Amino acid sequence: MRTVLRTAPALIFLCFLTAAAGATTQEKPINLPAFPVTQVEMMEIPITYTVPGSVVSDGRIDVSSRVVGFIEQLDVREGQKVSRGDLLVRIDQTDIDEAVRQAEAGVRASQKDLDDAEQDVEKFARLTQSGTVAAETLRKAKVRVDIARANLDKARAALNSAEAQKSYATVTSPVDGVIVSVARRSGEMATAGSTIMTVESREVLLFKTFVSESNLSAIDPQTPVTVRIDTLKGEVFQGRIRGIVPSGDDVTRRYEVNIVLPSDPRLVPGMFGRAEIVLGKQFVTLIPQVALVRRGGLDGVFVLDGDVARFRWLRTGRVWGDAVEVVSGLSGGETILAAANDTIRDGSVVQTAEEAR
Amino acid sequence: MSETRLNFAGRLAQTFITSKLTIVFIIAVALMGVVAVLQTPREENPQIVVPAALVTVSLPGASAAEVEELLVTPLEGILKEIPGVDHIDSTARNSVAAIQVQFKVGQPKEESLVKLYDRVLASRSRLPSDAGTPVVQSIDADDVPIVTVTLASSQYDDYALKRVAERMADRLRSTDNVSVVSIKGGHKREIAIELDPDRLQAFGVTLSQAYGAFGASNLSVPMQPTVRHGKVEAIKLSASFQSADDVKNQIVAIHDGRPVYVRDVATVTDGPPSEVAAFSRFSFGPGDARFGKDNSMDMSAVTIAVAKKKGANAVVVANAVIDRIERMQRSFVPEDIQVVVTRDDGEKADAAVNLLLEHLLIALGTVGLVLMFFLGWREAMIVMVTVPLILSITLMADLLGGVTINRVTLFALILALGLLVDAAIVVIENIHRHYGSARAGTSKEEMTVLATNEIGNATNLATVAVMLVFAALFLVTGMAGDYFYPIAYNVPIAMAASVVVAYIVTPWAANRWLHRHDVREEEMHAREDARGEPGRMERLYLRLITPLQQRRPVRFAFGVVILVLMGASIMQGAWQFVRPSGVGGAVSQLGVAIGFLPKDNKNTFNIVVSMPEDTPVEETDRFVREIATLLAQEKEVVNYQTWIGQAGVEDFNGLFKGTAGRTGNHVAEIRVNLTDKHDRSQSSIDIVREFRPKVDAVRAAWPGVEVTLVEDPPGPPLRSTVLAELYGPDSDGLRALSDEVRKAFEATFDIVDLTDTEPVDVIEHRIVPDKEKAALSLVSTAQIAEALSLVYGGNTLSRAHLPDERNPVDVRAFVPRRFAVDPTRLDRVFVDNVDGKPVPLSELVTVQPTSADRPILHRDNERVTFIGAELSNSVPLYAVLDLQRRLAGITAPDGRPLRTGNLSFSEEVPDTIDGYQLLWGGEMRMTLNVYRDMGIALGGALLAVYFLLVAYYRSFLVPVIAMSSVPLGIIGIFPGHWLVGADFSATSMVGIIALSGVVIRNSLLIIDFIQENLKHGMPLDVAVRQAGAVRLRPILLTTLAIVLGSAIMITDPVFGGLAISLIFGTVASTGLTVFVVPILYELHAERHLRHSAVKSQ
Repeated sequence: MRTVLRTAPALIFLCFLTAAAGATTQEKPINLPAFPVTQVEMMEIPITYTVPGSVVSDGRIDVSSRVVGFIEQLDVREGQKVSRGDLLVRIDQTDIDEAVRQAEAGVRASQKDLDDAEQDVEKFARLTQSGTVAAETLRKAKVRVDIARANLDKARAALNSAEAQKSYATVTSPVDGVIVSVARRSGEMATAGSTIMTVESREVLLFKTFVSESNLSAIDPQTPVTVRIDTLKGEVFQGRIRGIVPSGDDVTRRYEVNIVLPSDPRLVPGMFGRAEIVLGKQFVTLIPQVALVRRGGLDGVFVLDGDVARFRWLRTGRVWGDAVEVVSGLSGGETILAAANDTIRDGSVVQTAEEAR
Repeated sequence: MSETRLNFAGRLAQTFITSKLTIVFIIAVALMGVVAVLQTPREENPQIVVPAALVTVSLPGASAAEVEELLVTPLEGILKEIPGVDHIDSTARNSVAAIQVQFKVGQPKEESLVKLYDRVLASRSRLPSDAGTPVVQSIDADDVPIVTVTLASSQYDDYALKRVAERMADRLRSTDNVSVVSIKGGHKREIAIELDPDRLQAFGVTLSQAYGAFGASNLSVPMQPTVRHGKVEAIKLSASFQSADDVKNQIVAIHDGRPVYVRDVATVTDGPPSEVAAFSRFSFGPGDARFGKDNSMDMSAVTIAVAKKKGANAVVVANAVIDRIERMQRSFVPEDIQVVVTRDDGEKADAAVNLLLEHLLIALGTVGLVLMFFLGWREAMIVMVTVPLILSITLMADLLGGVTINRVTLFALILALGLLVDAAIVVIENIHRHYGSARAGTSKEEMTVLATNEIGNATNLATVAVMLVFAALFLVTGMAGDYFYPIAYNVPIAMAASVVVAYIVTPWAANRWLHRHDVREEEMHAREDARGEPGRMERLYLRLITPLQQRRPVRFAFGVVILVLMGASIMQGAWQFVRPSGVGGAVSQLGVAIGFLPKDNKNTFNIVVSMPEDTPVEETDRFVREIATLLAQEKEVVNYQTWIGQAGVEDFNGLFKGTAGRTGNHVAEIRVNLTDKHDRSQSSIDIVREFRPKVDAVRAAWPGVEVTLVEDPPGPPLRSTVLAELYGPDSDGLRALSDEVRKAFEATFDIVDLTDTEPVDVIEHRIVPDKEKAALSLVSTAQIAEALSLVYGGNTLSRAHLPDERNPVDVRAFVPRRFAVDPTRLDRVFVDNVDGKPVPLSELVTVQPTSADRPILHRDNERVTFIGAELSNSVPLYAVLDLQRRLAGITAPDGRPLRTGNLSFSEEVPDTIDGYQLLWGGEMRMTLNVYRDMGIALGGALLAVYFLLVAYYRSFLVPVIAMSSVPLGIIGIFPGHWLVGADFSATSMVGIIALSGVVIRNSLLIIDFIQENLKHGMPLDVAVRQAGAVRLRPILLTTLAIVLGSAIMITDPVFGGLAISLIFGTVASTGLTVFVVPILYELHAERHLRHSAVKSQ
């Protein structure tokens, strides 16, 4: 596969150029293939500190019931997308309904009691003026009104509370997100505070990584951080450091760093990636990866010496996109064949694409 | 006849003259010769037995200085105790000590090694307790491959080639007399786990966890069998890795309740390693028909190397191996794999031996022609028949005595040829003379026996003298002694055989085939000459000698001329040392350089490359490719094989130079094969000499690179031609001094290929754990070490149990280059603490940049550093003396003057009590040793001959006169070298020794005749004159036989010196001896007479 990748562009190029060469110049032999060349240059490459980490969701909500009761309805399943306000769970309401009725009855009773007390006060007030009832009796009747009013308030509050319980019996989604896990099934008992299901927010995704202590000082929260996600073929996301958790692990000497990722539907929490934090700059020799050929078990490139291609064995280092770092074997300034096919051997005379033109 | 008491010669002649046994003897000897030629092992050069061994001891974690103190110094002391040890060279490196022990030449190999083992193992208690077991490895010249076959292809990589090579190697092992069959180059299969540190970190898996997971799961254990249904049934736990997929699916940890597989944190590959540290390439050169064709350059290569067993015939083994290779090539080697024989010592030896056998025949033919001209064809034929018989006996002695047929053996035979015909000539000539003066009543047989008997004693004497002279070469010690051993062994045997054959076969043949009347006519002629009607040559001689006899001034002038000529000749060799322009620089116009052994015309040379120690292997490759580009333009290059990151297949030379077996990023070698020397006009010496400036032009752009163009020396291998051994108490001081000496070397005439042993400082990142932090984080140093070893270099975790795999396949985990971890930034490497929490390494260690420990070298118990160089065109003697003049007494780093030495005839040992010391080693030392030994040999031989002559002549002075012919030879020697354009070498010295034997014989014959003439009552002056005139012809005949017999050797680069000395020396000496010896004898006799006259008065 790699060979095909390497040779295919060269061959296409070659066909094109030989045709062109044949058409324009007579002296050049037609069958001499032409090859693209490139100059080996030293390039500035950032010195990066690469830390692996994972994509995590910023909001991860454990949904639980406040009320105790049997789960009456639970229709969502893991992986289901939910919007804010969608019904998630309904708890059996019978108990709550009874409590409401009881409270309503209490309110009514209190109301009656208050009405009765108010009538008493009205009657005693008139009778006091006529002197048939002692002022003391009126005062007591007034006290009874206050008590009755307070009782009514209490009964109303109890009713409100009972009715509020009713709303807790249905749990709706607090965020737009995905159901990650469901712990209970319909008919099971929901106890107060126990997780019934987990909903993960899709609104903000973070890249969570651990930076070793020695590199902590090199991190500037203002600098954007490049994050590559392996499964997305190393696609680059520009993240922003949201914060460094200011408490390190005293054993592993690492600090948690959270990087806010741009929203992208392909990003899924749990993905493995690497954050590259720039620490400085360095000069390295880079060559395009397609220029690398394998001859007799050695990887190298063809360096042009005049029009003779000379194989040069290289020690390659890290890969930078399409380019590969050359640790040893090239000194910079050489002209190399940017693509070579299997016909080229050490000492082959080649015509370069520039000459062909 | 019975009334004469017969001597040894006469008795032999009498026994065999008519015996049927003679024919049996001839046939038996001839058959012996055939057997000897076919059976005696052939070699190109004589084998030099130098037992040597390498002792390595490890001391993990110790610095070089520690290793020096704790291992090297005590071990050196222990090893020095072993008798027979010549030199000890040690290297103290970080964590390991390597001590090479070289025994004296000729020490028995097995015995020496046993002694060494004994001492080393007994010394365990003196070494630190954490030191590893000392490993003793013998360095054996017998293990040097005699055949190498390279498989090269542009279609297959070296991994595939190696698999083919392994199959081929298996089929070679059963060949008779093959010892080690090894495969050099290529890569073996492995299952590579390329760990991604980032993924490990993300999954919370640490390196040590990954490490632990493998060891525990790759298991196969046979259990105790069980019995079911009345049968024993086996049980086995089988959990071993059977494929790369098994490795991929191995669980390394549990993360978040989910298993983490190897494939999650690493890339698993099965096959050759993706990151190559060493490899080999093969290319055809313009000398091969395949050059320039598609895919004939820069092919991946793997080499099969085959060594032979000790004592086996290289030619037979090599032929058998190559035959098998060819058959395998036809049957299963794919077509697009080139199978090229890159070394064939068998063929080399065979070619050398056959060429020399051819030369021997030519020499024989030439001598035959001379004899025919002087003696007549019948006599010549008889003499020529004796020669093969003598050679047969000598070769049989070689076979029995364990001497191989090699160049030196054959040169010894060619050299002996001129001498060994002499006995037969003398016998036949005397028989001839007797037949001519036939007296009636004596039978032909009697006459023949008497004739043989007559010259017996004189011939024996002369032969014993020559034997003594050559046997003196046994006195040469060291490697050169082994090298010249075949001469010391063969020539005396050939001489002894020559007299025996001359006494047995010659009279028998003469009796059979020579007719009395045949010789009468010629004999009459000869007798006329003797009687004073001399031939033209004799007349000329008489005209020249008479004035010398009669006129004192003429005699005086003659003496002065001889002395002047001798002086001038010696001056040719000595001028360089006393000339006003100094000893350095080119040899003067008329001068003759004094060397050791010249280089030889070979079919191969080696380019040894040492880059600075911090050069990555890719850069090394780049340099080598530039050199290879040059090689592709040399028209005599047949092929070349480059070895990057490792030394090539070792050869005898490399073994002793210390270049064999090197590995490392900065090491490279190019083995260059040239067209066969018979097919090219240019010698390899010239090719290398012309190639060197081109290499130098490339090297100029690469500072610090050391390149040596190594030509296989004809004689003993040496570390360097010019070698300065610097001894001193302090490493830094040695380094400073080394720079200074190196500069002096650079400013010396004709110095090329400079090398030194001072390494370039390599940057080292010293990772120091912060003990407290590590302890607080609950991490141990061992864990840190384990993690680091995985990141840098990787670890072999386990071995896969693959079906049908003939080699162990390692499961190796490492961090590949694309994820390479910068040692200054270890934040990506994690270790597990006791609680299972990963801790980044950067928090536990500090990284300090320093320079890596430099290896410390020792030689003979002292710290040393070497500076070596080759010379392109001149001899080391002048370069060393020039350097010595400039370096002696310079201020050493300790402020004291530098002491230099080892330029005397006795070898000096290092001594640093008085500060720094420079000892000259290399070819210079060997030259001095050899010249010393040869001088002693020559002196001893002359003394022995003198005593022999004193006993024979019963006079102290007459032997001196007889031996005066030896110094006369000098007159020819240096001008001879100058004429031919050769250096005076060790073989020239052998030539002088040979020459002494020959010319003494000449003067003996003259003196014998003078005394004979005096006995017959001739007046002194006439007796002297006549003796000279009569002996002139036979002396010239002998001289001519020697000159023409040896002439074929002049063209040989190595033994040319011997031939030059012998030929020019003999000619000069003979030409003058015929005048000087008679005159001196006359003067002596006159004085003697006067004395006796005075006494009687």
